[in-house]
Amino acid sequence: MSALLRRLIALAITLWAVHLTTFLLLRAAKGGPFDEARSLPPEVEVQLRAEFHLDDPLLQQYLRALVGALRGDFGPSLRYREVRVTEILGDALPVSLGLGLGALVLALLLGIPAGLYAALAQRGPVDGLIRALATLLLSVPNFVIAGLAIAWFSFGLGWFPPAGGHGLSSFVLPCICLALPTAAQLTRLSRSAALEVIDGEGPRAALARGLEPNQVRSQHVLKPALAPILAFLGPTSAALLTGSLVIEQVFALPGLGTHFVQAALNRDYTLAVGITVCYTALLGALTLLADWAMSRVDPRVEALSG
Amino acid sequence: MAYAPNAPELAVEALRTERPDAFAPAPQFATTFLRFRVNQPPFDDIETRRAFAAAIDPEALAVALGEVRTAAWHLVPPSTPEWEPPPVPPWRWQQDRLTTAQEKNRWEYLYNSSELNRSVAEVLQAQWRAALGVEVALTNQEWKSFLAAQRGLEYQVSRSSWIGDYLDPISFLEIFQSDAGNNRTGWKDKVFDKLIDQARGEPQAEVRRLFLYEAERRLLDQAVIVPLYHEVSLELIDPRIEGLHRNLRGYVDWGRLRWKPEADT
Repeated sequence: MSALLRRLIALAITLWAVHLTTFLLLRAAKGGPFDEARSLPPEVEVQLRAEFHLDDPLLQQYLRALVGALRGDFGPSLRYREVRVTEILGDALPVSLGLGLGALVLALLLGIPAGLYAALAQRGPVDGLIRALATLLLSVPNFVIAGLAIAWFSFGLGWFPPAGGHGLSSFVLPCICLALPTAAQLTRLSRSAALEVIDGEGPRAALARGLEPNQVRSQHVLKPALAPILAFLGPTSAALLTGSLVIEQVFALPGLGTHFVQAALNRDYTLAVGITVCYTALLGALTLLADWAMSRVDPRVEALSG
Repeated sequence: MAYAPNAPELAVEALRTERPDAFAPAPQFATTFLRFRVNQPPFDDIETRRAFAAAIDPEALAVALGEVRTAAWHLVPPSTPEWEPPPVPPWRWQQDRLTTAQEKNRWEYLYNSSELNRSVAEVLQAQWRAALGVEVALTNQEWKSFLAAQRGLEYQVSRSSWIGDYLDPISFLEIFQSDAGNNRTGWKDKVFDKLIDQARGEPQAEVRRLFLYEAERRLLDQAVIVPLYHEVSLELIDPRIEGLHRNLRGYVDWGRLRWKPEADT
C-alpha cells in the first residue's frame, strides 16, 4: 500500500473519531439548544425537539448525523433554524481562509528572511535586535497586539476600520496581528536551523572544495535549513488557515472561529459538529500537503508521492 | 465609529465621569434579582431567606457597580406606566442573625459567568459576610449550564434577571405562578396564583392594579426573590449625533438619528 493511501485512510478514521467524539461531548454538556432565559412554552419545545429529532434514541440520532456528514450535509443549525450548517460553513470559511492565508504569507515574508539574516549576521547588533523583537512578539499575546493596533491604527490614525469584515482594508490589521507571533516563531526557527547548518561540516567542506561563499550560502546553508522550517509550517499553516478564534472575535470578523465558539455555547449541536469536522479535515489535508513538501526537500522523509 | 451598543463593564465608571457626552445609559424595562430555591433546605425556611434578603443593600450594590444602574427594591420596574409599587416589607430593615447551626451550613451562590455578574457576586458575598457572618461560596457556570441548573432547581440562591415583554406589571409577576415555566424557584403559592388569575380576569384597570399590587407584595414578603437593580443600556454614541430615542423595551428608532448641524460641533 502506498504511503499516501495509508495516510488518507488514517485521515478518514481521524475524521470519523472526531465526528463521534464531538457529537457525544456536546450531548454530554448540560443544557440544550432550546434552553433560554425565558422558557419556551412546553408545547413549542416538544414540537421543536420533534422537528430536529432530539427525542430519538441517541444511536439513531448519531447514525442520522453520520450518514448526513458522509453526504457532506450536517443538517440544519439548531440556532439559526432556517439555515443549513453547510451554508454557514460556506459563508464563514472564505473569511477564515482569507485571514489565515494573508497572515501565513505575511509571516513567511517577515519571519524567514529575518531569521536567515540574523543567522548570517550571527552575534552582531542586528542579530540581537531581531532576536529581541522576536522574543517580544512571542511573549505578548495577540489580543494585546490587536488592542494596541486598533487603538493606534483605527482610532488614532484612522487608516483601517476597527472591526467588521467589509472590504480588504478590514483584513489588514487582523492579518498583521495574526501573522506577527508566527513570524516571530519562524524567525527564531529559521535562525537556529541555519546556524545548525552553518556550524556543521557541510558548508566547511564545500568551502574547502573551493566553492564561492554565495554558492555555499544558497546550496549548502539555505536548502538544508529549509527542512525544519517546512516541518513547522505544516501544522502552523493549518492553525493559521483554520482561523483564529481570538483575532476573529477582537475584530468582529464573521469567520469560522466566531461561529465555533458560539455554536458550542449555544449547544448548536449540528453546527458545532460541522465546524469541528471541517477544521479537522483542513488540518489533516494541510499536514498531508506539508509532509509531501517535506519529502521533496528532505530525502530522509518517506516519500508520499508514491 | 459612531455607535457601540455595549460599553465594557470595566469602563463604565470612567465613561460616566469623563465622557458623559458620549455615554448615556438609559433605563431598561428589566430587573436583576436573586432567586431562592424554596422547596429544599436551607432556603425552604422563610426566616433564613428573609435574613439573607435583609443583609442585601441594593443601594450600596448600585454604587459598587459604577452608579449607572438604579437600586431595585421591587421586581416590577418603577418605570412601569400607571403603577404604584407596594411598600418594601418591613423586615428588610430588621437584620436577624442566623443560628449557630446555620452558620456552619454550606452556602452557595450560583451565577452565569460574566464580568458584571462576578462583581455583583463579590458585593453580595461581602454584604452577607458583614451582616450574617457567613461565607457564601461563589459558583459560576457558562450560560446554558447555568440555565439547566436553574431550571432543574440545582442551586441554593442564584442570580436572575427578567425583561418585561410588555409595559405591564403582570409581565414580571406572572412568571412566579406555581405552574409557570419561568418560576424556577420551586415556589408554589395558592394566594399568589389566585391574585394573578384574578388580575387576568379583571376588566377594571383600578381593581386589576390592586390585585397585582397585592401579588407583588406577597412575592416580596415571602422572600422568594430579592430585587437587586434595574438594568440600563450601556450605549456609546458619537456626541455629534442627535436624536437617539429608545423606548423602555430597548428598541431604538434608528431613523431619527441625525448628525448635528456643523455649527454646533
